[in-house]
Amino acid sequence: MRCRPYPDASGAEVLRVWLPADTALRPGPTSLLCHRHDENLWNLKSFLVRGALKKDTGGWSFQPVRFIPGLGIGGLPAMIRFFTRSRRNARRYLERRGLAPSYPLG
Amino acid sequence: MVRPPRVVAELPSEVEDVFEEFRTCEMSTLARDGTPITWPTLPFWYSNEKRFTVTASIALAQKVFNVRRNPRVSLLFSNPTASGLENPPAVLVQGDAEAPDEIETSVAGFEEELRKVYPRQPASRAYGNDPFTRYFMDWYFMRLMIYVTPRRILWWPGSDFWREPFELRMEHVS
Repeated sequence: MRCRPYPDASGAEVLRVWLPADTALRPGPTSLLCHRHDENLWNLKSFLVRGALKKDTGGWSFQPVRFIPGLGIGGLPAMIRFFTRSRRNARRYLERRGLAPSYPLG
Repeated sequence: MVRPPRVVAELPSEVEDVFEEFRTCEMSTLARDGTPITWPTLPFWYSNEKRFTVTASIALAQKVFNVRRNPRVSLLFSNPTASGLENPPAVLVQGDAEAPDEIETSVAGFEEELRKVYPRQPASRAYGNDPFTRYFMDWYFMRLMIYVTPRRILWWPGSDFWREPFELRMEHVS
C-alpha cells in the first residue's frame, strides 16, 4: 500500500499512517519503503525501514526498528561500501556453488 | 464498513499500460521471520504469458532467497514518474514467484528488454561499455531471474486508495 506517514503528534518515535478504515492491514512486523527516481530513471534514492505496525485508539502507527539504506543514501562513503560489499557478496554466491567468477560479455 | 472490491473478468488496457509504462514497481517478498520486505525493482510484463520477470544481481540476491523460501510476492505499481500516463491507476499484483538457481550472464534472449531499458535509463549505458566498468561491475551483470505469476490483481482508479478497488482473479482469465 502506498501511504504518506507522518510524525506522531505526541512526539513519540512512531509514525502515523492514515489509510481507509477497511484497508487490509494486520498488526505485526512490516517494512516501509521510500524511493524515488527522475524522468530518466536516474538519481535513484531508496531506503527501507523495518519495524512494527500497530493499531491503537489513534489509528495505525509504525514503530521503526531498523534503517536500511538503499541506493543514493549516504554519499560517497556509502557508495564505496555498497560496491565493495556487492563484489564480496557476488564472490560468496559463486564460491558456495563452486563457480568461478566470469565476465558477462555475451 | 468493509468496501468489497469490484470484481471483473478481464484485465483492462489501462492496467496493462501501467505494467508496460511504469519504470519501477515496489516488490515485496517475505523475510525468514515473515516480515514483508519491499524494494523498488524494474519489472517486465509479458502480456501473452500474463507473467512478470524481475531480475536481481547475485550480489543483491536477498529477494531471490526470500522467494525460494516462500514464493508469495507482491508488486505494487504506485510511482508513475516518467510513465507518460495521465492519471493512471495504482495497481497491486499478488502472486507466486519462482527463482531458479541459474545465473544469467548473457543478454541473449533479453535483447528486447534491454532495448526498452536503455532509452528509459540512458545513464545505464555507461555500465559495461568498456573493460574497466565491466570488470568492477561484473557482479551487477550476473543476474538471477524471478518469474512472477499473478494470482490476484487489484487497482485503484486515479491512484486513489480511498476508493474501492477493482479486482481480477487470474484463474478467471483465459
